[in-house]
Amino acid sequence: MNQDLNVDSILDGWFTEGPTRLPDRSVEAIVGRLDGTPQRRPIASLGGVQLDRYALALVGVAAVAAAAVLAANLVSNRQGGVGGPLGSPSSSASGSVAPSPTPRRSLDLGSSQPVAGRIGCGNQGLIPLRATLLDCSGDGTRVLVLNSNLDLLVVHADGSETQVAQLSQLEAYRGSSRPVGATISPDGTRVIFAGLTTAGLSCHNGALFGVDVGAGLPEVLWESERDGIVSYPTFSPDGTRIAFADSYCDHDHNVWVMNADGTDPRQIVGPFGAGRVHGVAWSAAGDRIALSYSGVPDSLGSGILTFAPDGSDFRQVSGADEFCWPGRRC
Amino acid sequence: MDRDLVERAKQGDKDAFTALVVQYGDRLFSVAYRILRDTTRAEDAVQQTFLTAWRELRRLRDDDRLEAWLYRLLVNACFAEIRHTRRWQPGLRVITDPEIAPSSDDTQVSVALRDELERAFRRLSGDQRAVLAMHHYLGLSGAEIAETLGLSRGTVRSRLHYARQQMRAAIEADSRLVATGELA
Repeated sequence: MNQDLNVDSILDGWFTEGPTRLPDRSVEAIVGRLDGTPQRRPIASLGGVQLDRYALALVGVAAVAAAAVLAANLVSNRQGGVGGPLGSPSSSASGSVAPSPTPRRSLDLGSSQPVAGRIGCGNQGLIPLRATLLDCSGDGTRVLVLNSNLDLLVVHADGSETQVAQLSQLEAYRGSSRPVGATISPDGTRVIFAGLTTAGLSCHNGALFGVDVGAGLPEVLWESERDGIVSYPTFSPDGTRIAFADSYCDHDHNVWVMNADGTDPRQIVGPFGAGRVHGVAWSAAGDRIALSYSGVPDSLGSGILTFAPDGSDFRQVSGADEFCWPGRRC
Repeated sequence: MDRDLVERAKQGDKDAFTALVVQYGDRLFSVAYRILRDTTRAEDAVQQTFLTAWRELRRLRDDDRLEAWLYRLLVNACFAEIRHTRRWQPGLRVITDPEIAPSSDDTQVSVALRDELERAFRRLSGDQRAVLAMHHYLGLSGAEIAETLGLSRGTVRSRLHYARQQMRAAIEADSRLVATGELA
Protein backbone atom coordinates (compact mmCIF):
# COMPACT_ATOMS: atom_id res chain seq x y z
CA MET A 1 0.00 0.00 0.00
CA ASN A 2 2.79 2.39 0.91
CA GLN A 3 4.48 1.53 -2.33
CA ASP A 4 1.28 2.38 -4.23
CA LEU A 5 0.95 5.65 -2.38
CA ASN A 6 4.55 6.42 -3.22
CA VAL A 7 3.99 5.66 -6.90
CA ASP A 8 0.93 7.90 -6.93
CA SER A 9 2.78 10.69 -5.21
CA ILE A 10 5.76 10.44 -7.57
CA LEU A 11 3.51 10.38 -10.61
CA ASP A 12 1.47 13.30 -9.31
CA GLY A 13 4.68 15.28 -8.93
CA TRP A 14 6.04 14.26 -12.29
CA PHE A 15 2.86 15.23 -14.09
CA THR A 16 2.87 18.70 -12.57
CA GLU A 17 6.16 19.43 -14.33
CA GLY A 18 6.05 20.96 -17.77
CA PRO A 19 4.43 23.83 -19.63
CA THR A 20 0.86 24.88 -18.90
CA ARG A 21 0.27 27.73 -21.31
CA LEU A 22 -0.68 27.44 -24.95
CA PRO A 23 1.65 29.77 -26.86
CA ASP A 24 -0.02 32.79 -28.45
CA ARG A 25 1.25 31.71 -31.85
CA SER A 26 -0.92 28.61 -31.60
CA VAL A 27 -4.02 30.62 -30.75
CA GLU A 28 -3.29 32.87 -33.73
CA ALA A 29 -2.74 29.85 -35.97
CA ILE A 30 -6.05 28.31 -34.92
CA VAL A 31 -7.97 31.50 -35.49
CA GLY A 32 -6.20 32.02 -38.80
CA ARG A 33 -7.30 28.61 -40.02
CA LEU A 34 -10.99 28.94 -39.18
CA ASP A 35 -11.75 30.62 -42.47
CA GLY A 36 -10.50 27.59 -44.34
CA THR A 37 -12.41 25.16 -42.13
CA PRO A 38 -16.12 25.17 -42.92
CA GLN A 39 -18.50 24.10 -40.21
CA ARG A 40 -20.39 20.91 -40.87
CA ARG A 41 -24.08 20.54 -40.45
CA PRO A 42 -25.25 17.82 -38.12
CA ILE A 43 -25.45 14.52 -39.96
CA ALA A 44 -29.16 14.23 -39.27
CA SER A 45 -29.94 17.39 -41.17
CA LEU A 46 -28.30 15.91 -44.23
CA GLY A 47 -30.68 13.00 -44.07
CA GLY A 48 -27.89 10.54 -43.43
CA VAL A 49 -27.07 8.13 -40.68
CA GLN A 50 -23.84 7.59 -38.82
CA LEU A 51 -22.69 4.94 -41.25
CA ASP A 52 -22.73 7.51 -44.02
CA ARG A 53 -19.97 9.54 -42.44
CA TYR A 54 -17.27 7.30 -43.78
CA ALA A 55 -18.46 7.52 -47.37
CA LEU A 56 -18.89 11.25 -47.01
CA ALA A 57 -15.35 11.52 -45.75
CA LEU A 58 -13.99 9.65 -48.73
CA VAL A 59 -15.99 11.73 -51.15
CA GLY A 60 -14.47 14.65 -49.32
CA VAL A 61 -11.01 13.20 -49.90
CA ALA A 62 -11.72 12.97 -53.59
CA ALA A 63 -13.11 16.48 -53.82
CA VAL A 64 -10.32 17.99 -51.80
CA ALA A 65 -7.64 16.11 -53.71
CA ALA A 66 -9.18 17.21 -57.00
CA ALA A 67 -9.15 20.77 -55.76
CA ALA A 68 -5.55 20.34 -54.69
CA VAL A 69 -4.54 19.03 -58.12
CA LEU A 70 -6.36 21.90 -59.75
CA ALA A 71 -4.68 24.37 -57.46
CA ALA A 72 -1.30 22.76 -58.10
CA ASN A 73 -1.84 23.09 -61.82
CA LEU A 74 -2.70 26.73 -61.35
CA VAL A 75 0.54 27.21 -59.49
CA SER A 76 2.40 25.35 -62.19
CA ASN A 77 0.87 27.56 -64.85
CA ARG A 78 1.83 30.65 -62.92
CA GLN A 79 5.39 29.39 -62.67
CA GLY A 80 5.74 29.17 -66.41
CA GLY A 81 3.93 26.63 -68.47
CA VAL A 82 1.74 23.60 -68.20
CA GLY A 83 3.59 20.60 -66.85
CA GLY A 84 6.53 22.61 -65.66
CA PRO A 85 8.32 21.08 -62.71
CA LEU A 86 7.12 22.02 -59.28
CA GLY A 87 9.87 22.40 -56.78
CA SER A 88 12.46 21.94 -59.49
CA PRO A 89 16.11 22.25 -58.58
CA SER A 90 16.21 25.82 -59.75
CA SER A 91 13.23 26.84 -57.69
CA SER A 92 14.36 25.05 -54.56
CA ALA A 93 17.82 26.49 -54.93
CA SER A 94 16.35 29.95 -54.94
CA GLY A 95 15.36 29.38 -51.35
CA SER A 96 11.88 30.76 -51.80
CA VAL A 97 10.18 29.82 -48.56
CA ALA A 98 6.53 30.56 -48.07
CA PRO A 99 5.32 31.40 -44.59
CA SER A 100 3.52 28.44 -43.11
CA PRO A 101 -0.05 29.08 -41.97
CA THR A 102 0.71 27.15 -38.80
CA PRO A 103 3.66 27.21 -36.46
CA ARG A 104 4.46 23.63 -37.47
CA ARG A 105 7.98 23.55 -38.83
CA SER A 106 6.99 22.65 -42.34
CA LEU A 107 8.90 24.04 -45.25
CA ASP A 108 7.40 24.69 -48.63
CA LEU A 109 10.27 24.16 -51.00
CA GLY A 110 10.09 26.62 -53.79
CA SER A 111 6.47 27.60 -54.08
CA SER A 112 4.52 30.51 -52.77
CA GLN A 113 1.40 28.37 -52.66
CA PRO A 114 1.49 25.47 -50.18
CA VAL A 115 -1.74 24.33 -51.76
CA ALA A 116 -2.07 20.63 -51.29
CA GLY A 117 -0.02 19.98 -48.24
CA ARG A 118 -2.51 20.54 -45.50
CA ILE A 119 -5.64 19.21 -47.06
CA GLY A 120 -6.77 15.98 -48.62
CA CYS A 121 -4.90 12.94 -47.51
CA GLY A 122 -3.04 14.77 -44.81
CA ASN A 123 -6.20 15.76 -43.01
CA GLN A 124 -6.29 13.68 -39.85
CA GLY A 125 -10.01 14.31 -39.58
CA LEU A 126 -10.66 12.10 -42.57
CA ILE A 127 -8.91 9.05 -41.19
CA PRO A 128 -11.32 6.27 -40.28
CA LEU A 129 -11.75 5.70 -36.58
CA ARG A 130 -8.88 3.74 -35.01
CA ALA A 131 -7.02 3.44 -38.29
CA THR A 132 -3.80 5.03 -39.45
CA LEU A 133 -3.79 6.72 -42.82
CA LEU A 134 -0.69 5.66 -44.74
CA ASP A 135 -1.22 7.01 -48.23
CA CYS A 136 -3.83 7.96 -50.78
CA SER A 137 -4.03 7.44 -54.50
CA GLY A 138 -3.19 10.35 -56.75
CA ASP A 139 -6.82 10.97 -57.67
CA GLY A 140 -7.85 10.79 -54.01
CA THR A 141 -10.47 8.10 -54.59
CA ARG A 142 -8.70 5.41 -52.55
CA VAL A 143 -6.91 5.57 -49.26
CA LEU A 144 -4.49 3.08 -47.77
CA VAL A 145 -4.92 2.53 -44.06
CA LEU A 146 -3.67 0.27 -41.30
CA ASN A 147 -6.41 -0.64 -38.88
CA SER A 148 -6.03 -1.56 -35.24
CA ASN A 149 -5.81 -5.26 -36.14
CA LEU A 150 -2.81 -4.46 -38.34
CA ASP A 151 -4.76 -5.21 -41.47
CA LEU A 152 -3.55 -3.21 -44.44
CA LEU A 153 -6.67 -2.04 -46.24
CA VAL A 154 -7.52 0.00 -49.30
CA VAL A 155 -10.72 1.95 -48.71
CA HIS A 156 -12.56 3.01 -51.84
CA ALA A 157 -14.63 6.12 -52.40
CA ASP A 158 -17.86 4.15 -52.03
CA GLY A 159 -16.78 3.02 -48.56
CA SER A 160 -15.94 -0.55 -49.55
CA GLU A 161 -12.67 -2.05 -48.37
CA THR A 162 -10.13 -4.37 -49.93
CA GLN A 163 -7.76 -6.18 -47.62
CA VAL A 164 -4.22 -6.05 -48.96
CA ALA A 165 -2.28 -7.86 -46.26
CA GLN A 166 -2.47 -8.94 -42.65
CA LEU A 167 0.58 -7.48 -41.05
CA SER A 168 -0.39 -9.06 -37.74
CA GLN A 169 1.07 -12.23 -39.19
CA LEU A 170 4.46 -10.62 -38.95
CA GLU A 171 5.34 -11.61 -35.44
CA ALA A 172 8.27 -9.26 -35.19
CA TYR A 173 6.23 -6.27 -36.29
CA ARG A 174 6.14 -4.67 -32.87
CA GLY A 175 8.75 -2.65 -31.13
CA SER A 176 11.84 -1.17 -32.57
CA SER A 177 12.06 -3.83 -35.25
CA ARG A 178 8.79 -2.67 -36.75
CA PRO A 179 8.98 -1.99 -40.47
CA VAL A 180 7.41 1.27 -41.38
CA GLY A 181 5.24 2.34 -44.21
CA ALA A 182 3.23 1.45 -47.23
CA THR A 183 2.33 3.30 -50.39
CA ILE A 184 -0.41 3.07 -52.98
CA SER A 185 0.19 3.76 -56.66
CA PRO A 186 -1.17 7.00 -58.07
CA ASP A 187 -3.89 5.11 -59.96
CA GLY A 188 -4.80 3.18 -56.81
CA THR A 189 -4.31 -0.28 -58.29
CA ARG A 190 -1.12 -1.41 -56.55
CA VAL A 191 0.26 -1.31 -53.04
CA ILE A 192 3.85 -1.68 -51.93
CA PHE A 193 4.53 -2.14 -48.26
CA ALA A 194 7.49 -2.75 -45.99
CA GLY A 195 7.59 -6.00 -44.09
CA LEU A 196 9.76 -8.93 -43.08
CA THR A 197 10.59 -12.15 -44.82
CA THR A 198 11.36 -13.91 -41.55
CA ALA A 199 9.71 -13.13 -38.26
CA GLY A 200 11.28 -13.12 -34.85
CA LEU A 201 14.83 -12.13 -35.72
CA SER A 202 16.54 -9.24 -34.07
CA CYS A 203 17.93 -7.89 -37.33
CA HIS A 204 15.34 -8.01 -39.26
CA ASN A 205 15.11 -9.50 -42.77
CA GLY A 206 13.29 -6.48 -44.06
CA ALA A 207 11.74 -6.52 -47.48
CA LEU A 208 9.39 -4.69 -49.76
CA PHE A 209 6.25 -6.47 -50.90
CA GLY A 210 4.02 -5.59 -53.83
CA VAL A 211 0.43 -6.59 -54.39
CA ASP A 212 -2.23 -5.65 -56.89
CA VAL A 213 -5.25 -4.36 -55.02
CA GLY A 214 -7.90 -7.05 -54.92
CA ALA A 215 -5.82 -9.65 -56.70
CA GLY A 216 -3.50 -12.28 -55.34
CA LEU A 217 -0.96 -12.49 -52.58
CA PRO A 218 1.86 -10.05 -51.90
CA GLU A 219 5.12 -10.86 -53.65
CA VAL A 220 8.60 -9.95 -52.48
CA LEU A 221 9.92 -7.09 -54.61
CA TRP A 222 13.15 -6.39 -52.83
CA GLU A 223 15.02 -7.82 -49.84
CA SER A 224 17.47 -6.00 -47.65
CA GLU A 225 20.93 -7.39 -48.24
CA ARG A 226 21.93 -6.45 -44.71
CA ASP A 227 18.89 -7.88 -42.93
CA GLY A 228 17.82 -4.36 -42.17
CA ILE A 229 14.57 -2.60 -41.46
CA VAL A 230 12.89 -1.33 -44.59
CA SER A 231 10.81 1.79 -44.30
CA TYR A 232 9.04 4.65 -46.06
CA PRO A 233 8.31 3.10 -49.47
CA THR A 234 6.94 5.94 -51.56
CA PHE A 235 5.63 5.85 -55.11
CA SER A 236 6.84 8.49 -57.52
CA PRO A 237 4.01 10.70 -58.79
CA ASP A 238 3.90 8.84 -62.12
CA GLY A 239 3.89 5.46 -60.41
CA THR A 240 6.97 4.12 -62.17
CA ARG A 241 9.45 4.22 -59.30
CA ILE A 242 9.72 3.66 -55.59
CA ALA A 243 11.94 5.44 -53.11
CA PHE A 244 12.49 3.84 -49.70
CA ALA A 245 14.91 3.55 -46.83
CA ASP A 246 16.86 0.54 -45.62
CA SER A 247 18.97 0.15 -42.50
CA TYR A 248 21.12 -2.20 -40.52
CA CYS A 249 19.50 -2.94 -37.17
CA ASP A 250 17.77 0.43 -37.24
CA HIS A 251 20.92 2.43 -37.78
CA ASP A 252 23.19 3.18 -40.69
CA HIS A 253 20.25 4.01 -42.96
CA ASN A 254 20.37 4.15 -46.74
CA VAL A 255 17.99 5.44 -49.33
CA TRP A 256 17.16 3.43 -52.44
CA VAL A 257 15.31 4.19 -55.65
CA MET A 258 14.11 1.40 -57.91
CA ASN A 259 11.51 0.73 -60.55
CA ALA A 260 8.06 -0.05 -59.20
CA ASP A 261 8.31 -3.63 -60.49
CA GLY A 262 11.37 -4.23 -58.31
CA THR A 263 13.99 -3.94 -61.02
CA ASP A 264 17.05 -1.71 -61.12
CA PRO A 265 17.43 -0.90 -57.41
CA ARG A 266 19.98 1.84 -56.83
CA GLN A 267 21.43 2.82 -53.52
CA ILE A 268 21.62 6.54 -53.02
CA VAL A 269 24.83 7.52 -51.33
CA GLY A 270 24.39 10.86 -49.70
CA PRO A 271 26.20 13.08 -47.25
CA PHE A 272 23.96 12.12 -44.36
CA GLY A 273 26.41 9.68 -42.83
CA ALA A 274 25.49 6.47 -41.09
CA GLY A 275 22.50 8.03 -39.41
CA ARG A 276 18.78 7.68 -39.57
CA VAL A 277 16.37 8.53 -42.33
CA HIS A 278 13.03 9.74 -41.05
CA GLY A 279 11.10 9.98 -44.28
CA VAL A 280 11.33 10.46 -48.03
CA ALA A 281 9.05 12.44 -50.33
CA TRP A 282 8.90 12.96 -54.07
CA SER A 283 8.35 16.36 -55.60
CA ALA A 284 5.16 16.73 -57.62
CA ALA A 285 7.10 16.53 -60.88
CA GLY A 286 9.05 13.48 -59.73
CA ASP A 287 12.36 15.14 -60.46
CA ARG A 288 13.52 15.58 -56.86
CA ILE A 289 13.33 13.58 -53.68
CA ALA A 290 13.56 15.05 -50.20
CA LEU A 291 14.73 13.11 -47.20
CA SER A 292 14.71 13.91 -43.52
CA TYR A 293 17.72 12.60 -41.64
CA SER A 294 19.62 12.74 -38.42
CA GLY A 295 23.29 12.05 -38.74
CA VAL A 296 25.80 9.86 -37.04
CA PRO A 297 28.08 11.17 -35.70
CA ASP A 298 26.03 13.91 -34.13
CA SER A 299 28.31 16.50 -35.68
CA LEU A 300 26.47 15.91 -38.92
CA GLY A 301 23.35 17.20 -37.24
CA SER A 302 19.93 16.65 -38.71
CA GLY A 303 17.93 18.24 -41.44
CA ILE A 304 16.48 17.95 -44.89
CA LEU A 305 18.31 17.04 -48.07
CA THR A 306 16.94 17.01 -51.57
CA PHE A 307 18.47 15.13 -54.48
CA ALA A 308 17.74 13.94 -57.98
CA PRO A 309 16.35 10.38 -58.23
CA ASP A 310 19.62 9.19 -59.76
CA GLY A 311 21.41 10.15 -56.55
CA SER A 312 23.05 13.30 -57.82
CA ASP A 313 22.78 16.97 -56.96
CA PHE A 314 22.35 16.81 -53.19
CA ARG A 315 21.21 20.04 -51.63
CA GLN A 316 20.92 20.82 -47.97
CA VAL A 317 17.76 22.60 -46.87
CA SER A 318 18.54 24.57 -43.80
CA GLY A 319 16.22 25.71 -41.10
CA ALA A 320 13.64 22.94 -41.28
CA ASP A 321 13.11 19.51 -39.82
CA GLU A 322 10.00 18.71 -41.84
CA PHE A 323 9.36 19.14 -45.50
CA CYS A 324 6.44 19.73 -47.78
CA TRP A 325 6.77 19.73 -51.53
CA PRO A 326 4.44 22.11 -53.30
CA GLY A 327 1.61 20.24 -54.95
CA ARG A 328 2.10 17.22 -52.70
CA ARG A 329 0.32 16.16 -49.56
CA CYS A 330 2.12 16.54 -46.23
CA MET B 1 -18.50 27.94 -19.40
CA ASP B 2 -20.49 30.54 -21.26
CA ARG B 3 -23.37 28.88 -23.08
CA ASP B 4 -23.93 32.00 -25.08
CA LEU B 5 -20.39 31.73 -26.46
CA VAL B 6 -20.98 28.14 -27.49
CA GLU B 7 -24.27 28.97 -29.15
CA ARG B 8 -22.77 31.88 -31.02
CA ALA B 9 -19.81 29.75 -32.09
CA LYS B 10 -22.24 27.14 -33.35
CA GLN B 11 -23.75 29.79 -35.57
CA GLY B 12 -20.33 30.50 -37.06
CA ASP B 13 -19.29 33.42 -34.85
CA LYS B 14 -15.48 33.31 -35.00
CA ASP B 15 -15.03 35.80 -32.19
CA ALA B 16 -17.06 33.61 -29.88
CA PHE B 17 -15.07 30.57 -30.88
CA THR B 18 -11.82 32.47 -30.36
CA ALA B 19 -12.97 33.24 -26.84
CA LEU B 20 -13.47 29.52 -26.28
CA VAL B 21 -9.98 28.84 -27.64
CA VAL B 22 -8.54 31.29 -25.15
CA GLN B 23 -10.68 29.87 -22.34
CA TYR B 24 -9.80 26.21 -22.87
CA GLY B 25 -6.51 26.42 -24.76
CA ASP B 26 -4.15 26.32 -21.80
CA ARG B 27 -5.89 23.38 -20.17
CA LEU B 28 -5.96 21.36 -23.38
CA PHE B 29 -2.34 22.17 -24.12
CA SER B 30 -1.28 21.13 -20.62
CA VAL B 31 -2.97 17.77 -21.01
CA ALA B 32 -1.66 17.28 -24.55
CA TYR B 33 1.88 17.91 -23.37
CA ARG B 34 1.45 15.39 -20.55
CA ILE B 35 0.35 12.77 -23.07
CA LEU B 36 2.82 13.56 -25.85
CA ARG B 37 5.81 14.87 -23.84
CA ASP B 38 6.65 17.24 -26.68
CA THR B 39 5.61 20.89 -26.88
CA THR B 40 5.46 21.13 -30.67
CA ARG B 41 3.32 18.06 -31.05
CA ALA B 42 1.15 19.19 -28.15
CA GLU B 43 0.56 22.47 -29.96
CA ASP B 44 -0.30 20.57 -33.13
CA ALA B 45 -2.73 18.35 -31.23
CA VAL B 46 -4.44 21.35 -29.68
CA GLN B 47 -4.71 23.06 -33.05
CA GLN B 48 -6.22 19.96 -34.57
CA THR B 49 -8.59 19.67 -31.63
CA PHE B 50 -9.94 23.17 -32.02
CA LEU B 51 -10.21 22.92 -35.79
CA THR B 52 -12.16 19.68 -35.43
CA ALA B 53 -14.26 21.29 -32.73
CA TRP B 54 -15.02 24.24 -34.97
CA ARG B 55 -15.96 21.96 -37.84
CA GLU B 56 -18.10 19.66 -35.74
CA LEU B 57 -19.43 22.09 -33.15
CA ARG B 58 -22.97 22.07 -34.46
CA ARG B 59 -23.15 18.38 -33.65
CA LEU B 60 -22.57 19.03 -29.96
CA ARG B 61 -26.00 18.48 -28.50
CA ASP B 62 -25.37 19.40 -24.87
CA ASP B 63 -23.45 22.65 -24.50
CA ASP B 64 -22.64 21.77 -20.90
CA ARG B 65 -20.56 18.87 -22.19
CA LEU B 66 -18.25 21.11 -24.20
CA GLU B 67 -15.18 20.61 -22.01
CA ALA B 68 -15.53 16.83 -21.89
CA TRP B 69 -16.10 16.79 -25.63
CA LEU B 70 -12.97 18.86 -26.18
CA TYR B 71 -10.95 16.44 -24.05
CA ARG B 72 -12.22 13.56 -26.12
CA LEU B 73 -11.23 15.33 -29.34
CA LEU B 74 -7.87 16.18 -27.79
CA VAL B 75 -7.12 12.60 -26.84
CA ASN B 76 -7.94 11.48 -30.38
CA ALA B 77 -5.69 14.22 -31.75
CA CYS B 78 -2.91 13.01 -29.44
CA PHE B 79 -3.38 9.46 -30.69
CA ALA B 80 -2.99 10.77 -34.23
CA GLU B 81 0.18 12.61 -33.23
CA ILE B 82 1.59 9.46 -31.65
CA ARG B 83 0.83 7.48 -34.80
CA HIS B 84 2.39 10.20 -36.90
CA THR B 85 5.50 10.28 -34.75
CA ARG B 86 5.92 6.54 -34.91
CA ARG B 87 5.43 6.56 -38.64
CA TRP B 88 8.03 9.17 -39.30
CA GLN B 89 10.49 8.31 -36.60
CA PRO B 90 11.50 4.66 -36.58
CA GLY B 91 13.41 5.19 -33.37
CA LEU B 92 11.77 7.45 -30.85
CA ARG B 93 14.19 9.89 -29.39
CA VAL B 94 13.73 11.60 -26.12
CA ILE B 95 13.47 15.32 -26.66
CA THR B 96 14.66 17.42 -23.81
CA ASP B 97 13.60 20.99 -23.82
CA PRO B 98 15.80 23.13 -21.59
CA GLU B 99 13.04 25.70 -21.31
CA ILE B 100 10.69 23.28 -19.64
CA ALA B 101 13.09 21.14 -17.67
CA PRO B 102 13.06 22.30 -14.07
CA SER B 103 16.32 23.32 -12.48
CA SER B 104 17.96 21.09 -9.95
CA ASP B 105 16.92 23.45 -7.18
CA ASP B 106 13.20 22.99 -7.61
CA THR B 107 13.24 19.42 -8.80
CA GLN B 108 10.34 17.42 -7.47
CA VAL B 109 11.54 14.24 -9.12
CA SER B 110 15.22 13.39 -9.41
CA VAL B 111 16.84 13.68 -12.80
CA ALA B 112 17.56 9.96 -13.02
CA LEU B 113 14.06 9.05 -11.98
CA ARG B 114 12.65 11.52 -14.45
CA ASP B 115 14.58 9.81 -17.22
CA GLU B 116 13.24 6.44 -16.13
CA LEU B 117 9.71 7.81 -16.04
CA GLU B 118 10.09 9.41 -19.47
CA ARG B 119 11.30 6.19 -20.99
CA ALA B 120 8.60 4.13 -19.34
CA PHE B 121 5.90 6.62 -20.31
CA ARG B 122 6.97 6.62 -23.95
CA ARG B 123 6.63 2.85 -24.01
CA LEU B 124 2.98 3.12 -23.00
CA SER B 125 0.26 3.03 -25.61
CA GLY B 126 -1.61 6.23 -26.36
CA ASP B 127 -4.64 4.84 -24.54
CA GLN B 128 -2.62 4.24 -21.40
CA ARG B 129 -0.88 7.60 -21.55
CA ALA B 130 -4.20 9.40 -21.83
CA VAL B 131 -5.83 7.78 -18.82
CA LEU B 132 -2.68 8.17 -16.74
CA ALA B 133 -2.42 11.88 -17.55
CA MET B 134 -6.10 12.49 -16.93
CA HIS B 135 -5.92 10.68 -13.61
CA HIS B 136 -2.70 12.15 -12.26
CA TYR B 137 -2.73 15.59 -13.87
CA LEU B 138 -6.41 16.45 -14.08
CA GLY B 139 -7.21 14.46 -10.97
CA LEU B 140 -10.14 12.71 -12.59
CA SER B 141 -11.43 9.47 -11.15
CA GLY B 142 -11.71 6.34 -13.25
CA ALA B 143 -15.44 6.90 -13.59
CA GLU B 144 -14.95 10.49 -14.71
CA ILE B 145 -12.33 9.45 -17.27
CA ALA B 146 -14.68 6.77 -18.54
CA GLU B 147 -17.47 9.26 -18.95
CA THR B 148 -15.23 11.83 -20.62
CA LEU B 149 -13.68 9.45 -23.11
CA GLY B 150 -16.79 7.37 -23.69
CA LEU B 151 -15.20 4.19 -22.36
CA SER B 152 -16.40 1.59 -19.91
CA ARG B 153 -15.17 1.91 -16.35
CA GLY B 154 -13.57 -1.52 -16.63
CA THR B 155 -11.56 -0.45 -19.64
CA VAL B 156 -10.29 2.65 -17.87
CA ARG B 157 -9.51 0.65 -14.74
CA SER B 158 -7.56 -1.87 -16.79
CA ARG B 159 -5.59 0.78 -18.68
CA LEU B 160 -4.77 2.60 -15.48
CA HIS B 161 -3.67 -0.61 -13.85
CA TYR B 162 -1.26 -1.61 -16.60
CA ALA B 163 0.04 1.92 -17.05
CA ARG B 164 0.73 2.30 -13.34
CA GLN B 165 2.35 -1.12 -13.29
CA GLN B 166 4.86 -0.03 -15.91
CA MET B 167 5.50 3.29 -14.27
CA ARG B 168 5.97 1.56 -10.94
CA ALA B 169 8.54 -0.73 -12.56
CA ALA B 170 10.44 2.33 -13.71
CA ILE B 171 10.36 3.82 -10.24
CA GLU B 172 11.58 0.56 -8.73
CA ALA B 173 14.35 0.32 -11.31
CA ASP B 174 15.48 3.77 -10.30
CA SER B 175 15.39 2.77 -6.63
CA ARG B 176 17.59 -0.25 -7.36
CA LEU B 177 20.14 1.94 -9.13
CA VAL B 178 20.23 4.28 -6.18
CA ALA B 179 20.54 1.36 -3.76
CA THR B 180 23.45 -0.17 -5.65
CA GLY B 181 25.20 3.16 -5.84
CA GLU B 182 25.24 3.34 -9.62
CA LEU B 183 23.90 6.86 -9.47
CA ALA B 184 26.16 7.96 -6.67
